[in-house]
Amino acid sequence: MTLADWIALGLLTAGAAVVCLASFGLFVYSSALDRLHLLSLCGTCGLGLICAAVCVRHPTDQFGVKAALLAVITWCFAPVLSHVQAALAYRVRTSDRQDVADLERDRP
Amino acid sequence: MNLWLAASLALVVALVPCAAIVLRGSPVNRLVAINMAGTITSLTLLLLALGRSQPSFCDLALASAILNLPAGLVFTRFMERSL
Repeated sequence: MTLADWIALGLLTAGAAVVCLASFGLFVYSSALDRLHLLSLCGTCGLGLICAAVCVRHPTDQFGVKAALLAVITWCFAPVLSHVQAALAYRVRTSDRQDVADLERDRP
Repeated sequence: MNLWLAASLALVVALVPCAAIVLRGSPVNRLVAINMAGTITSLTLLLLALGRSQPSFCDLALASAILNLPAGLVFTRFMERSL
């Protein structure tokens, strides 16, 4: 195995571990806002490590280019989705709280 | 089984918690789990393409990643109306 293979192996193992950790972390947290942090971990760190492993192993052929494209697409779209879902989760969480409703009503 | 296929198998296992949350969670939690499942599915398809040495399979991963945004936005919008 070459040095690139070892680096790709390390990156791939770390990426798969991060994705599995984030996924099984869904059982640990109960709130949707907390779970969104795990989604970000999976979509940025895990995906980045795995795509980096592919790019290191296949730097010039189609696999590397498409893996880089996949990472760029996901990194562009993930914040939009997280923002929309966090806004929804916040609205759902605060809709049944009287203290927040009072604050909203008293706001000048 | 090569390394890429083993990693894709690990990612398929990572889909199990997402499925559990989708089946049993509250509506907003289901949305988050679906979003995470979409990301994991894209990665799984990419690793399957590498494991099978089929570059055309990478297009499936790209299509899945691109469709993840409108799907999430549509789900969120409809859920906003119903909640």
